[in-house]
Amino acid sequence: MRLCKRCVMPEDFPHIKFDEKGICNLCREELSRGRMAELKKEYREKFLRRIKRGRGKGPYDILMCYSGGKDSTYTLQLLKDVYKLKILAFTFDNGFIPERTYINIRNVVEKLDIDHILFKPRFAGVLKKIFRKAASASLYPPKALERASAICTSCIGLVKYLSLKIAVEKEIPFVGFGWSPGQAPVTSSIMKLEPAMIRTMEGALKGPMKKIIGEDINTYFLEERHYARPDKFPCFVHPLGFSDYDEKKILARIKSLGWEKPYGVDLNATNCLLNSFADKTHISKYGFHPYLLEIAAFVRGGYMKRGEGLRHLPIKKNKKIVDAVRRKLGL
Amino acid sequence: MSGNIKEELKKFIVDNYLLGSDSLNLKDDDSFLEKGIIDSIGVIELTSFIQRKYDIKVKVPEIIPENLDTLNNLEAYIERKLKSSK
Repeated sequence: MRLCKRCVMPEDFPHIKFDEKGICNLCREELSRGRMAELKKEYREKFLRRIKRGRGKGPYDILMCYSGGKDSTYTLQLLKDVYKLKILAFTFDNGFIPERTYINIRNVVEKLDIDHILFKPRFAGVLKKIFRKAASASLYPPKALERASAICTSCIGLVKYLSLKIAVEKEIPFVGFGWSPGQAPVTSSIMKLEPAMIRTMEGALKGPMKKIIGEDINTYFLEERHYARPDKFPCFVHPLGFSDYDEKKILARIKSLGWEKPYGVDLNATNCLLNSFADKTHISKYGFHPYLLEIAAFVRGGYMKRGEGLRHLPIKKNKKIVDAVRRKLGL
Repeated sequence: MSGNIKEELKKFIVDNYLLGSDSLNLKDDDSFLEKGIIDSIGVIELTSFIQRKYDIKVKVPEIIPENLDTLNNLEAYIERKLKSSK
């Protein structure tokens, strides 16, 4: 199978077309480095204007969705040290957080002196059922699965709506994420959506989950009392979208906060033991790696060399970990 | 004109959100959001596409299902915007 000569996209990926030089359409459509720098500056200034308006109006300026991985750890310190925000960090425990990640989270929030909450939904009655179904059935529409496995989509979706609930209840004007520049475009890095849009999107995620869990799933999603406060809906922001991104510098900075890479995680996720299993399941079902678009965007954007990108794509699974995941999910 | 807009929009949706194949047999009144065809990043991409393609400015309060969530709604919204810009 041919791969794009500039990034790592394969010829048979949906809506990918190669030109006569073997370059894919995503590379051909990529913004110039100069235009990208301008856009980043534009969004960074937009964020600064928005925080100037929103800062200090409530107990917290931002609710940061903090997985304990390298990117969200780095984002957390950016929000604290560069943007000087009052932060509430929120960790969603999906049952597969490595022991070292708990230590990392504790070290980082203590070092940065940030309030933190950890929420762990019921495993047997909720998460296990969702993950099992996501591993075996086509739970979500195709587009969602281009960017992440069905298992990751389930987790991210729950994080997104739980964080929205918390933000509306605590009147926090921003919800932050640690999406890397490869995971989400700069143009989505500051996003304020109308509650009507959010309600409809929420239905697309909640619907499939309700079929698995039943009415109990409502616990994890917005309620009418939240929608009754449209002026309290936060703005979503992922600051890495408009920041400089250098993995070596990021690792050095977070090391100084007491962060260490956990044992058993793969190259693409530094906080979740479920990832290799989720990737493997995704590839078996759809024929492509769920991190493909992200890695290709990293290479295209100059954040990663092509050879390194290619090294990220095969699944180098830790059999012991994958077997433990299977056992925990009863598969 | 109107038929062209809808066809252009449908092509964009099918190419970009349905992996190039209209396996869902997308109808003019199908909700993109309820069917999960587009997510939040998809909304931004769709908004950027129509701004670029039709040279219109989409304001944040206009990003609502009534304007963007079906082919019919999108077409009507774009036509209104084009008319008001004349």
